[in-house]
Amino acid sequence: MSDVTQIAVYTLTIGSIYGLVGFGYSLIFSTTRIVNFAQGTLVLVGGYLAWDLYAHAFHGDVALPIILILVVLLSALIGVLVDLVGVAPLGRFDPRTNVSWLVTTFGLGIVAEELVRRYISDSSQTLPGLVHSLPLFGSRRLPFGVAVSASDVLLVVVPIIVVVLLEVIQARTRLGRAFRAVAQDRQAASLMGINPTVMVMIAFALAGALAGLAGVLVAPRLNVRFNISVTLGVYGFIAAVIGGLGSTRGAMIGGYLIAFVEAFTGVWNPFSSGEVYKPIAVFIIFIAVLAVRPSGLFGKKIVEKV
Amino acid sequence: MTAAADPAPERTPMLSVRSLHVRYGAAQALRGIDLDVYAGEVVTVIGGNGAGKSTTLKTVSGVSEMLKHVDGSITFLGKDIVRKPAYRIARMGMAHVPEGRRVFPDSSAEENLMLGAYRRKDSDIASDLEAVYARFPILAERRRQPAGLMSGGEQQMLAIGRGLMAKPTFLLLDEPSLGLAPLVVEQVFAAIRQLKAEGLTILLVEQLATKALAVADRAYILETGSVVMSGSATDLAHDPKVRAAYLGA
Repeated sequence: MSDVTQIAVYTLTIGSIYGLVGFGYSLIFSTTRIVNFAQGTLVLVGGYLAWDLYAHAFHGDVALPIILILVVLLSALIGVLVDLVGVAPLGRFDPRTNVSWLVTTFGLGIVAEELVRRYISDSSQTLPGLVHSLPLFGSRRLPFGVAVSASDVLLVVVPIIVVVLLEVIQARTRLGRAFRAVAQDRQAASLMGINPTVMVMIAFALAGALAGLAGVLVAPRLNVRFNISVTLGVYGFIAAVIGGLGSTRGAMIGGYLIAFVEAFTGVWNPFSSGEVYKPIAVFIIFIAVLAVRPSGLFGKKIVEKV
Repeated sequence: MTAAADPAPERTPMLSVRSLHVRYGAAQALRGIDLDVYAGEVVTVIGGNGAGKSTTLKTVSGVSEMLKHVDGSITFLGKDIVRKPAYRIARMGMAHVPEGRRVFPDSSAEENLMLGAYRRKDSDIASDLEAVYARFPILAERRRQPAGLMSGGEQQMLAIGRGLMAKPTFLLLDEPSLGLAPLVVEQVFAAIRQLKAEGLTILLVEQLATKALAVADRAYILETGSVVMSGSATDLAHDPKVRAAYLGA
């Protein structure tokens, strides 16, 4: 039975991080119809920024939650930078035929990663949990001997709060209405007096903030290291696509689904080492979902515009 | 042929287009258009497919993707607006009801209308919304329905209503009859006549020349990117050449 708890904890913690990263892809895709391949790297950058601020700038004197806020703000700025340097200069273009964004976003990811290596650290680092105990929780063990720390609880709860908050903003505020208008028809939105360039910039800022948040939240569990940009970048992307690119809650559900598949494969596996088969299982599910629902679980059917 | 009969020479036009050129790659879409619209007028631009009607409108409202390839001047309310982005021009009081309606398909009819009022901060928005529903009762029935599921005629009325929600001083209508059943076309033109009676300034691009000339004060006829004729709508409607070429008479 401990396996079941293990799977549940992995699904909820790692799944919500995949969802958070995937949510960033979704936000940018819905306003620009491009995929920001720097998104995974921004998670890594967020983690290293937090570590650098914690260990060097403040020498551990400043509480981590404050560092988290700083990192989220800095990551939002980096997100805007990706837009200003890599996407906005491409001008108004058809993302289906002009794929230079593929090179620019991917390239900026590499540049960001190398800057971190050069100026922050080139090795794996650790960052303590944001909190050591929670008012109602404290660090405790679940039944069957599965350890759950306070930072794991944050890992589960914070992404859900963030996603709900962003959904409410989208549905209820003026900014959200403008955002949805740009996502549906950029030109028509500009005829309403909405500046689409600014909306796209906001999407990049939010996506950057989400990546930074993911980087800090996941650090106690996965550490601050370079290969998470690939893992979280790719799995976050898969989460977004499974959920339906452009769908808000879809990325979250997609994240849980692939984390579950990973955990399940790791535990219930006829072969000796489940680790090797995790990615295979994830990609099989990915293909299976797309075969049945090409636009994702929560995605809308793409209707040709007349 | 006939020079544009200037209805009030001493007034300055609300919209003034001078020697407008637009290139699409090697193709010249507009070859030097001159066009004026005075306050309170309904002016129509008619012509065949590819004559440059929509290009003219899109260049005026700034929604064209080809703004870099635009030459000439466009003055709206005394300000130079050529190559300005669409959202800036929209904020000056110009509402463009685009070709193909371009309603926001996933948003409800009411959300579409409210997006039309996006830039407004006055307190009349609610009463203007009711006024749009009174003008197009079908929209009131469909207010909670996604616009993408509405019929072509309903979408056209929604697009016009959305334009009106901006409380515009100048309305651009691009092919409002396109793809609509004759009965629905009648409804759309009735709405245009109503707006004209209320004194709204309108620039109408239309393929149905007879209908357009019937509602307009003045007209410009475009052929392969140039104005070949202009004048009062009544005169043009009786001109033998126009009748032969555009009115099927």
